[in-house]
This record gives sequence, structure tokens and C-alpha cells, in this order.
Amino acid sequence: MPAARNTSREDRPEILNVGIDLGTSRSAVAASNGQRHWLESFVGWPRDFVAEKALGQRVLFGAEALHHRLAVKLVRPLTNGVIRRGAERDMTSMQELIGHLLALAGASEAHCIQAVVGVPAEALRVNREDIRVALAGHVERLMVVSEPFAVAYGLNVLNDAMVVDIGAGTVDFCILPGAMPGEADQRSLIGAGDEVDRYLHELLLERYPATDFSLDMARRFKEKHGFVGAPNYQVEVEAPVRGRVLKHDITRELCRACESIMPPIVDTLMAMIARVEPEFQARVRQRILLAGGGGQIHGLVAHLTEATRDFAPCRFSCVSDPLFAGALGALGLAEDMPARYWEALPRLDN
Amino acid sequence: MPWESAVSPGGKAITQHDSVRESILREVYEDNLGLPRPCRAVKSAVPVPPPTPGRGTPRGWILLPLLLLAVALGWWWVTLPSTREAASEPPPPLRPVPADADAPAGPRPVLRYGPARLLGLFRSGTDARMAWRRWVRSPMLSMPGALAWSSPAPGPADRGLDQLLDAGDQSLSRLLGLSVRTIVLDPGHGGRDPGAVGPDGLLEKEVNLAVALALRERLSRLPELYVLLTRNRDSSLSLRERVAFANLHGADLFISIHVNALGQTFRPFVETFYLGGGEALVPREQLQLENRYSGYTVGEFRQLLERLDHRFRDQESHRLAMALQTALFFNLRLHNQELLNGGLKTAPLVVLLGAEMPAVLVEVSSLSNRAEEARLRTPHYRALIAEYLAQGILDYLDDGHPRQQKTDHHARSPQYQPRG
Repeated sequence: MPAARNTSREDRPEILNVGIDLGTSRSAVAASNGQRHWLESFVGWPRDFVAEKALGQRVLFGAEALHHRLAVKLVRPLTNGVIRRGAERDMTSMQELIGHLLALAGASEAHCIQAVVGVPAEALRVNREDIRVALAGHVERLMVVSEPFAVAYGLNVLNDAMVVDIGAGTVDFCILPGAMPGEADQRSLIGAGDEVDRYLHELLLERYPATDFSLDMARRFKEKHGFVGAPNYQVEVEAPVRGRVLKHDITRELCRACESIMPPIVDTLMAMIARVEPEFQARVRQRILLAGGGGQIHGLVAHLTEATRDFAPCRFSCVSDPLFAGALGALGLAEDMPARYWEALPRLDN
Repeated sequence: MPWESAVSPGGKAITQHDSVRESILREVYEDNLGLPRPCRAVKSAVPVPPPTPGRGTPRGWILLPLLLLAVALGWWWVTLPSTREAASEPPPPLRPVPADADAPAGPRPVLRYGPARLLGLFRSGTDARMAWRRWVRSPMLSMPGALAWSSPAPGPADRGLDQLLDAGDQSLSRLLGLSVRTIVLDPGHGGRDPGAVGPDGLLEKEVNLAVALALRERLSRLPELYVLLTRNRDSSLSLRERVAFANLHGADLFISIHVNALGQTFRPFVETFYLGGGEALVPREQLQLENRYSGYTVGEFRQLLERLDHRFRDQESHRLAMALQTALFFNLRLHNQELLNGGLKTAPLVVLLGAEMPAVLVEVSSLSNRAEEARLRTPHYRALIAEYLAQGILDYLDDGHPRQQKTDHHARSPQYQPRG
């Protein structure tokens, strides 16, 4: 991770535009130098000096932190779409994660970094200042936008459309009115991917009480096989029962868990559309984009189309690159932003 | 994972005018421009080298507070005598200035409660919290609409907030222009904790959840409100987690929804609890039931009790409880003549103690009554309860004067097309 930057902008004439998608589950970065990277939003702190010596690192990130989760204290800086508060390590973890993302993007002391960060709409509402604190010292200039808006900007879908970003912590809804969406154009639901994981975990423990299912296993099952509606195949997974690895059929539980978040999504979706000017509603209904990790749930488009049929016909599309859609949109904003606007922003120093 | 259809990043499937893009960029810029520069609240784990000599910013951060302190101290010495005189004079009666007056008549009034007064408050005490409370209670806040330009002499000290809090006709939140944005609804019990169980087996947790979901659906029609649920399915949640959820999200109101099942069984009743200074009027068994699975330790509970003196929160809790109880009881009574009014009660319920915002616990009905249990099984009755709770909340938000007549609050909501 690069150390906090302490030289003036004038000393670093080379500008690096960066788009960061700071997600509850995964974070991605895209930079104007062509670098694109993502990692799971986990930060691992070695539990003691023995672990630190064995791991050879002061702090671990993403999959590596998850892999060594027995030896580290895992911190997920964003929970339910907002930056965790309560311990100093929460904010420090966020700062470390951002520093690591920038390092992956090839940022160095030689760069003057201009960053646009997409965050869950909830974080934008609740602790926007915390985000700026977390970025201070890492970038020179910063703009913060909501994730769904960043996605929409990257896709060039700026008016009479809607983005539904189904993330881990929140489901964010954003109406694109042809201007920057305001508070009334956005809404968040707390029940999202993490809720599905927890529910699936409960269901699995209920059906197979003797099997050792972990929450992380439930998350991986969901990400690999998650579906709504009719199953295309029988989902069988391996898990240990008293030390012996056995196959388990989890088709029904997986479907129940994934479908558990659908009713509030449909309700909120239609409530949001109902608030658009009547003559524009039909147009918005035909341009609903599904983004975020939850957008990859198999059968989602068909399920939502069917579920909204009683209201009015809706047309859903999934973004083709949900992992980087937010980061690329944020990068697009950073690059399109006129230099005079960047210059006019206050610098983020230590 | 197969894709049903796809939109590529950067694709030009839907083209936009450049003017729209420019306008959006400007709005994004303006939205971010308005934010102040952050202070680095938490030290990074990364060792930060000392500031480079010649960099203006760190020096500025040090010099600016020193400069402000020097100015404030100077002002304090200049105004010190007048403050002493004011303190020694007997307090004259308060003379509020008419609200519609643009400027005070007669000679220009003396600014009695400026920074010197504030500094004095902090100077005479060692405890910052007490100093803050003295300031809040000072006459500066005692005269709505007049504030510092109110009277030639100060009003009685330490009566300001009391007067406001004791004024029965208008809430402090309205006087200070505070609004409500985030409401957390808490369907009581859930998961391994069924709550009360009716004579025919209806579980309280089911009713609580159904009512809360219906209430959220109704409140969500109001764009200015942001409604969150502590649980949206049958899951176990300690009281501590529920309260932490509300605190974490900066809720403005916390409403815990429950159904009663204790005491007499021949008539159903509706009652609402709030956290107040009065004596608890709750049976011991009911207190035990509602405080089960609290998740707090004894030490933490003591800390909660120490926070009891939150009069502002308590006053707003009382108003909210009054609005909810009135709307719920008088409207439900139209459907069920047997219903009894349990009224407002104060109780040290853990779920109310931990909340940092106005909080109430509504017992929307009674499961101990068999006929009422049958009604509670029907979605229609649950929807009615939710509707009346919504009305109570709207009454509280409107003016703090709950209405006893049933009103059509849909008229105040955006049009909503229900499914089917």
C-alpha cells in the first residue's frame, strides 16, 4: 500500500484518473492507465505476532485475507452499505483497502490522483464524510457518487431509465431523470446479498443439522449456483459431516433464499416508477438495468418480468460486466469532468 | 453465468445529448463542492512522514484555532463586566418579541448572550457535558423567535429548556425546525422467540412482522420518509441488535411493534409504551417478556440507565406515543367495540432504553383474547392496524396534535397502484 501522499500537486504533474467502486462485498478500480482490478472487500489483520510472522504481512486483502481467515481478524469495512463505525480499526481497514486498490491500479508518488468513487447510496447518505476521510491522504481530488449512478453514466444511460444495483449490503434503486439523480430519485433496501447468505445458511443448517456449513460456504454456493424461478439443474454441493465429505442437495433452499429478497425489490421498483411523471413511466419501465453481483442470479430477468406483469410490462437488462460497470462509470466521470472543475475542488490532504 | 440480455459499458445503445452530459457533470461537481474538507479523524496504520517544511496546510490548521481562541478570549474580557452585572441583577419577567416584528422597537437591544456568555458557561464548570447542558438550558433558547435580541436583561437562568419542554401545545422539535427522515420499524420477537402465543396458536412474531411490513409499505409512499425494518423475515434478533440497527442508521424515530397477551383475557386492549421519567406501570411478567433476549450485560444496562435524563427524546417519545395510541385506538374501536384503551405507559423496556432517538413500543392488540386472535389472523385486520399506525405517525409528523377522527391519509400520499 502506498504511504500517505505528502508532496504538493505541483510536484506531481502526471495526472491519474481513477474510478473506484467501493462495494460491500467487492471493490473494483479502473484507472486511466488501463489498469482494472477487483478484490473482495475484506481486510485481514493478523491475530498476533506469530500470525504476522507466519503470513509475512502486516495486513491482507481480499481473497488472501479470506484464505487465511483463521489466522487473521477479518474486517469488512462496509456493512449494510455503510462504513462500519465503532472501532478505530474499521476506518483504518477502509483506508488500507483504498490504498491497496490504488496500488493495484499502479498509482505512485509521481501521480496526481483524481478519483471518482462510487459507493452504495446508503453510504452516500449516512457517512459521506467518512468516505472522504478514508480517501484523504491517498488522492488529491475526490468526487463521491452513488454506485447506480456511476453504472448508468458508464453505460451512457442518463435519462428515462432506472438502475437496480443488487449488491451485498443493499439493493440500490436509482431513477435517471436526465440530470444527476437527487435523494428522491434513489432508494435503498437493506435486505440484499448478505441477507440471502444468512438466510441460506439458516435453511441449510435447518435441513442438514449434522453438516458443518459456514456462512462463507453459503455465500459461495449462492454466487456459483444462485437462481430464482424454476431450477435448470439440481444443485448439489459438498460439505463435511463429522469429518466426512458428503454431497447435499440444496436446490430448494437456494431458491427460497434467493427469492426471499424479490418481493421487496418488486414493490420498491414499482413504487419508484409510480413516482415518475405519468407520461414517462412507460419509457422508464422499458429501460431497467440490473447491476451488481445480484444481477447475476440466474433467471432474475424472467422472474422480475413475470413478477411485474400484473403492474405493467417491464423490460429488464443485465449489465454485461457487473464487476467493473461501477468502476468504469466512475472512471468515465473522472475523465469527462472538465479540468476546471477538478481544479476548483478542495484538495484532500492529511 | 448466462446472461438474459446485456448492455455493455461504454455502449452507445442509448445515445444522449452532450448538453445533458455536461449538465450532469456540473451537478456532480457542485454536489461534491459543497462538502467541507474532512479532518483526519482516525490515524492511519501507515506511518506518515512529518510534513514537508514550507507546506502551508499543517501550519494553517494550527494557526487558525489559535487565532480564533485569541479573538474569543479578547471578547470575553471585554464583555465580562456586563455578564457579571446581568448575573447579579434580579431576573425581570420575560418579554417575548412578537413573531411578526421585523426589528425590535425602541433603542437597539443589548446582545446579552453572545460568545462571552457561552464561554462563561464553560469557564465556571469543569464538566463539559454539564456546561453544554447549562447552555442548552440558558435563556438563549428560552424565547422562540426572539433568541438573543429578546429583552434588555436576561431571563431566569436554567428555565429555558424547561419552559419549552413543559409547554404542552408545541413540541421542541417543531420549535427548532427539526424534521423526521428515517424511521426504523421493529417487528418484535422473531426466530426462536415467538413472543406471545394466542389460545389457538397464533404467534405474536408473525403478526408483528406482517403489520410492520404493511406499515413500511404505507410509509414508503411518502418520498420524504426513509423507512427501515430491523427484520423483514422470521429471524432471531436480540434487542441490542435492534437498537444498534436504529442507532447505526441515525434513525429519527424508532417504533417497536408488539401484541399483548398478558393480564385479562375477556377484552382486547391497545397500549403504547415510551421511555419516561415516571414510575413504571407495567406488570413484572410483561417486563420480563418484552426484555427477553436483550443481549446487554449488567454493566451496559447500568450505562443505559444513566442516559435516562434525555428529556428531549422523552418528550418526543411521549408525543409520538400519544399520536400512535390515539390513532390506533379510536380507529380500531370503529371495527371492534370491545376494544379497551390501555393508554400510554412508561416502562424501562430495554429496547427503548438503548435507542438514541424518540422511541415507542406499541402493543397493537391482544392475543390473549380468542376473538381478537381470530381477527389478527386476517390480512385485512393487520392492514387496518398498519394503516392506523401510519396515520398516527403522520399526525405526529404533521403538527404534533394527533387527530381522533379517521382521516384519509392517502390524500397526502402519492398515488399508489396496488398489485392486482
